[in-house]
Amino acid sequence: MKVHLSNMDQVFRDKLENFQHKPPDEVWNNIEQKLDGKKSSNILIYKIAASLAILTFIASLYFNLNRTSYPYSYKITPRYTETAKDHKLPDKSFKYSAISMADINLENENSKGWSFLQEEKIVVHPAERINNEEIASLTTLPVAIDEHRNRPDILIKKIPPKQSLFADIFPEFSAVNYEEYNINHSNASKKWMIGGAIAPSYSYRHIPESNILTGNSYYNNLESPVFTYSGGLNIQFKAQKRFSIQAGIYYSTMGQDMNYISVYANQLYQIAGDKTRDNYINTYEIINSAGDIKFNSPLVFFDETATARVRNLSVSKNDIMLSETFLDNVHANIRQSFEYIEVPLIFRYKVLDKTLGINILGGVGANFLVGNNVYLIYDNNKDVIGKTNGVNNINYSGLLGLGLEYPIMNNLNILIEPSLKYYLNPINSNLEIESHPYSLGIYTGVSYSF
Amino acid sequence: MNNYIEIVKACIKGNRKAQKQLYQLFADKMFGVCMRYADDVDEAKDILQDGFIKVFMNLEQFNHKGSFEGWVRRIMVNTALEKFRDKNYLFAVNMEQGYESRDKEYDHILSELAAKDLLKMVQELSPQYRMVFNLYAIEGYSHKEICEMLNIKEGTSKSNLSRAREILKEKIKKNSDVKIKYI
Repeated sequence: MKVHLSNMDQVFRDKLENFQHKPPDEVWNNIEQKLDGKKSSNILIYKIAASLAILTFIASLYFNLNRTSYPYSYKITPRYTETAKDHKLPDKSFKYSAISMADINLENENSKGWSFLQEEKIVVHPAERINNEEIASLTTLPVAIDEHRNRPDILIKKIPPKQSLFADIFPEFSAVNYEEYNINHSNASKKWMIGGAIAPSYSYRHIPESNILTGNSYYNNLESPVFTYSGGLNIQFKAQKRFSIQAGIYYSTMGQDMNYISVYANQLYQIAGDKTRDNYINTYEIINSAGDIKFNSPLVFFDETATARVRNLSVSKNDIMLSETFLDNVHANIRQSFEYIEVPLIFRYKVLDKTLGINILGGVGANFLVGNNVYLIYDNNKDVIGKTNGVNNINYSGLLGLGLEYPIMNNLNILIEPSLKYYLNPINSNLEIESHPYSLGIYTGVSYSF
Repeated sequence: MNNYIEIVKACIKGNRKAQKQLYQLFADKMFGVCMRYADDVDEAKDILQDGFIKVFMNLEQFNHKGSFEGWVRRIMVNTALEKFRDKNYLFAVNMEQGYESRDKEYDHILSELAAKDLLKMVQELSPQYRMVFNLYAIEGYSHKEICEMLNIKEGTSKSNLSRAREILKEKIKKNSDVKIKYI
């Protein structure tokens, strides 16, 4: 006996130290189940890895399909077929035909961004890991994975209950009080989690009320948010019972729509001969809060708000009056879209650690621009007309979120994480206007702990 | 009792029969330990279950030098503390001054009480008093060790202990009153 006990303590000790009671039979059954579960966990990892791969593949298909440039197909703007070279006005030989924008695009950055992501395959090495999430979930400190054997060790020691992160990372510097039963030295506990998530997002930008002449309301009236997708893979390290660090790689699209710009198809372009047709291709510059867009198009763009957002740089070549009857209105939208590969570093704190877990997330991310397109969207088609000039290639973002996780299988959780990402730097450092993109997404996905 | 070395070896190989044998060997005793720490039977079952899984997963780490039972017991206590810490993440710092008194009059009543009565009294203590009392009086840890385990101040551990003792004394007194009534 190490310490002096009062008489009463002694009585309690004598009677309770070796007190026995038969536990209900179900306890052994549960233990057996969990021990069985351990065996199949390797297979489970493969299953998860496979489903993540499939998910990534499907997502990449989705994004690629969405980005395919379709040839224009105006229902309202007829054009001579190649056979109608006699310059007669043909009635029946009008054809719904294609003007391939690819020919006249300044640049067509097709799918560059996503293919980059596809190259970044996360490889899971489940092979030797005796993976046991029960152990992991039961205790923060007594259990550790030995680097060499990949097996959990147990530290039977007097555990300081809230060991510092520092001590977790540098166990050799932390005061460890090993005891008689104390077995091998071991690293601090390690718990990993891999996951994948995809999110529909609401994306727009914030322009601080700054010294710009027009104020931010000017742009807020002319531009509007877009709905996009984002998704990726992540890996989490549980540094402490409730505190985790997460890194990952995500693909995300940000952007905005430009409103009050009318788009017309020019019949003159349709009927012009090969030699004169080029005269109807104009160079436009559209200026907005994210930068300027310069492109060539046979279409006619006009700013409805009588501000100077749209400029026809080649107007002298071909004066177009909007009153002309040869202009057909195309119901089209102009969308600026930026694709990023995001590498976030996120800190998670678990505020509720029950069956349903609630986490608070905060972090920072580096966002690498991998796609920069301006789309003309009409009749379910999406054509690239150009790109936004001057935007940064790397942006830094802050992230705040709330994560809900719920176990569906032994090591498998489903997650729902509404989160807000805000670009700390303006998207275009060349402009006076400071446009900070942000997106609000609800990430849903799965995570697997091992 | 040394035959459990063989059982342990078989368990390490994953022999299910041996695992069950090992479980049966210690289940009753360890459930007794768990019951002292737990809020209720369900929690005691959880601690026992989680603790045994840890035991099985880490059998290889047992070095056969110390007492095996002690090793298993330590895992159970650690598991119980883990559960306690999870539930009581923020401790109320209790600076209540305790006092040591030795009431001889209770000692004889005490010795007549059955283990089950005592267990019930311990179980009825509030979680933190229960932890401190169990660790100090029954497991034999010092206040210094306990304050590290529970992340409380040493003074808190001391005052919790004396408060727990006071409460237990009250309970013993009530219990004996009841007994006397029925005799």
